[in-house]
Amino acid sequence: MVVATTLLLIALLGGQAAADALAQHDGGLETGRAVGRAGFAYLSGLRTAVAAMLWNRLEPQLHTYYLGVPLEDQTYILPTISLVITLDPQFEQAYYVAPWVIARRGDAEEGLELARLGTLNIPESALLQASYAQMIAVFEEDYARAAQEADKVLDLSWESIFEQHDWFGVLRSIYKNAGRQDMVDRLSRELERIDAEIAQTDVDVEHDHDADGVPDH
Amino acid sequence: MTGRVWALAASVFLDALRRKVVWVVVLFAAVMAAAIPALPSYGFGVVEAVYREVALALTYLATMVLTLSLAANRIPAEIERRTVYGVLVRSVRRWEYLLGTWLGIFVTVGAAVFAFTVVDVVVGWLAYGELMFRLAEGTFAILLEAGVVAAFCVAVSSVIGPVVVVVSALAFVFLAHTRSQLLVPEDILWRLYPSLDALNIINPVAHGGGVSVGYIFSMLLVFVGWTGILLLVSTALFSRRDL
Repeated sequence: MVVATTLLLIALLGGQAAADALAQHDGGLETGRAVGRAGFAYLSGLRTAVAAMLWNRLEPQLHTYYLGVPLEDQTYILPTISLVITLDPQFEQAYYVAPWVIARRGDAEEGLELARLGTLNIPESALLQASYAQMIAVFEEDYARAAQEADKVLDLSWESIFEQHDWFGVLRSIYKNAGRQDMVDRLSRELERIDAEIAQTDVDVEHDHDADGVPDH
Repeated sequence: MTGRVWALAASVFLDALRRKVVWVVVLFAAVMAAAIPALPSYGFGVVEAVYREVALALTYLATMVLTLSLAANRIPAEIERRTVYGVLVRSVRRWEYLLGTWLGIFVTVGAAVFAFTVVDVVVGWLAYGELMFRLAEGTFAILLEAGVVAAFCVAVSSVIGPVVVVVSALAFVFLAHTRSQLLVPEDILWRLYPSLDALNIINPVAHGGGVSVGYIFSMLLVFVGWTGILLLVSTALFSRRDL
């Protein structure tokens, strides 16, 4: 019995050690450590699906912003956003919206901290990095630090050239306030390039900004 | 000896069929089909990975529910109904009874997991036009974990009732998956903490290229180690019990 137990224990711990060693070579996924966040990890698919469903429920409420409700008054969305982040710590949109709501309510420090957390949890997100830089500029008026954060955006990829175009305008203002003329010039050139690219893009969505019944583009 | 163990396993398997376990598979297929439209799309090309993740999560959930429902009450019910005496007086040793019971549960769960895998692959093929055979690696790991949980249930249920068995099994699964929350790989205890983390391959299966043959072998070692120890414990507990 003792011998059998010892052999089985060796098999268990040996297999576990082998799994740890082999997992580190699985396509850079570092599963050895990542899978260990289990208790919960096997249910990660369900968690991310529920987070997305909650967000889909929230989005129509967010659109009330465009109907005149200021962002700072939309605190009713925060509990759901908090739940979304808990369920799916890599949910980009939640980190983009929530920090602005919190900061506009008057707790800039808390809002900035959440924005920073977003950049840590999703380091590849240009949107979150740019938004964090903008928040530093707006709420702390520390343009030098905002420009440092903006520097990190340039190596990241964007969801679309339209999003990139909008944010490069914001980032250019940050660099201008920080006195970084070289970056202002660089982003101006980038914006011209993106403008040219957009002009050649076949946009399949018509917009009627002046509501005269005739699409503007 | 082997014949007696297999005979017991077969009786557990047939009993599960009589209890209409097959309906679990039908329900699972229905849940999978209903889940597809609700899946989030994080962008082009990612949705298949999300499907694999959700498919494995639902398979895990369904397998654990099935395992617990089969394993938690099997031995307590046989003791309560006194059918266990009829088995043990026929020169069946107690360890054979426990091993046969576990094997029957494992085979039943294995058949269900096989069916779940077929559902996962077929639904994935119908929804995304891609035959995701890689999912079988993930469901195999789930089956191994279910085998360990079944062995744990057999061990605990040899001395106590089904409610405690279910609660303790859930606690066991949680504790066996918390190694990386308690320790870091540099810690000496990292190697000595007996965990089930090796059987969780959701990341490489859902988002990567699967796992290597060597890794599957290491999973089997972990499975044999855990199951063997738990069945030895159950034998020790059950042999001391005054029936």
